[in-house]
Parts: sequence; C-alpha cells; structure tokens
Amino acid sequence: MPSVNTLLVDSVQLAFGQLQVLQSAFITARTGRVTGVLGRNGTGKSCLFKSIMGGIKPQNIFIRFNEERDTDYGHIGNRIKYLPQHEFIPAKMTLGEAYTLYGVDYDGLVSFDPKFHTYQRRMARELSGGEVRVAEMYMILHTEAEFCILDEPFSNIAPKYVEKMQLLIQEQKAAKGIIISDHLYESVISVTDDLFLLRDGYTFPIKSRDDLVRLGYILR
Amino acid sequence: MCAIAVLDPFTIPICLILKLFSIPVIFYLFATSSQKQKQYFYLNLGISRREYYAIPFVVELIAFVILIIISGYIGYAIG
Repeated sequence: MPSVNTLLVDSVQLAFGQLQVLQSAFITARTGRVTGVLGRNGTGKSCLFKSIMGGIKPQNIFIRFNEERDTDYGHIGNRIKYLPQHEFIPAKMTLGEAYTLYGVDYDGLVSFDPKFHTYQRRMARELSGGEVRVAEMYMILHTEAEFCILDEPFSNIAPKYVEKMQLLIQEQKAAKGIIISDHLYESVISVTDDLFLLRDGYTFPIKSRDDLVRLGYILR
Repeated sequence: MCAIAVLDPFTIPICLILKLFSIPVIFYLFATSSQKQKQYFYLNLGISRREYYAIPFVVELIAFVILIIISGYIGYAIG
C-alpha cells in the first residue's frame, strides 16, 4: 500500500504591479484524494499552479510536504508534476523521448489507446493538439511523483477521452494526490473529493452546488 | 592545452574576440529555450527555474571551451 502524502500550499500572494491576483490563497492535496479548483477566467488558478511549480515568482508562498520542516522548493518538480494549459512537450522532441525522460512506459499509452502505436518516434509538432494533450496527460499521471497538478486537462479533447481520463484519474489517485482545474466544472466535480473556488484572490471551500451559486460561479 | 592558451598573453585578445562572437549564440539559445510553456517540461524533471535559465550559458560555455581546445590543437599542429 503506498504511503499517504499531504501537500499544503498556503498564504500565496501574487501581484503584477497594481493588479493583485492572489491575496491569501491556499490549497491542500492528499494521496487518495482528488482536489478540484474552480474559478472564473482571470481569478488566478493557473497563476497559483505556476507559483507552486516555481514558473512564476509570487510575493509570498508557503509550501509544506507532510510534516517535513524543510521543503526543497527549488526542485519541486521531483515531487509534483504539472500539466500546464498549453502543450509543454518541446515541439522537436519525440513522444518516446519525452516518456523516457519522465520514466514512463510508452507501452502503457499504447494500451490506453492503440492509436499511439505508431507515434513513439513522432515529434510533438507532428501530432494534433488533442493527441499531444492526451499523451501529456497520460505521462503526467503515470510518473512516480507524489502529486500531480492538471490545469484544464479536459479542454480541447474529445468527450471519449474526457471519460477515459476521468477513469484514469480515479485509478491513479490511489498512489498520488491530484489537483485538477477546468472550466468543464461538471467533469471536474464528478472526479473530485475536495473542491475549492478561487475568487477575489482567496480560496473558498465548496461543499455543495449552492455554494457555487452563492459565490457567483454559476447562475443556477 | 586550454590553460596554456589562456595563460599566454598573446592568445587572450583572440579568446576575448571569439567570446564576443558567441554572444549572439547565447541570445539564440536563450530565445529558443525560454518559451514560457516549454519550461514546465524541464521544471517537472526537477530542474529549478534558475538552473533552467542558466542552461544556455552553460551549453555555450562548454561549446566555447571545446572550440578553444580544438583551436589550440590545430594551432600546435600547424606550428
């Protein structure tokens, strides 16, 4: 049985000049659970994830794994894998090379979808956006990392893949904590155990659909 | 060989000129490697942001040292 890991991200403050994006955002994740993050456009979901990964530098951020006193924040990619909104496998890299670098068995992807059987030696730029997205998501979910962050994983992929990815997320959460964000909120809600809403730079825990209406995320 | 070339006062200006020529190379490497989304491929591998941005400089430096060593060998062979 895999060990249970916890991730706490707290007191995230991020501003671009006068624009305060995150004021005191927090998020938690835990092995065996899927954490959903919802929010309207421009509320800072992606900024929160990028701040965690070190891609952008917030004014303040607190990150703790389990009860460890020191977190090697500079090399956080060893513990958290991040799927950004846009394609991130370098355009001239083959899928096979990317999978080798991430330590993921390519045959697993072929089992997941036989369509990828002939794609191992193809460069990312030779595939469609949706195909690269599926390959990237499968790769991120199958790494040895303790946590995965998926930023809009269901956007721009076929409904069949959305359903397959939901199953994959449910399968993989046994070994890792997963954080997911997408505007297809019903697809997110159906796989999440804990749900948060980002609004006005703060994080609000969501217990029911009524909370989403009350906080102005949906109309009804 | 490289150490001899660097310590020789006559070779220092040549090395400096060669290094100046490499500035566009650094800019090219920096521009091609610093695409915003691509950086997460490397951050996911456990590379820090600082290390990621240092990659073009390190690659260029290694290439420069190799170039100087090869130039030194060719110079000795001709001389």
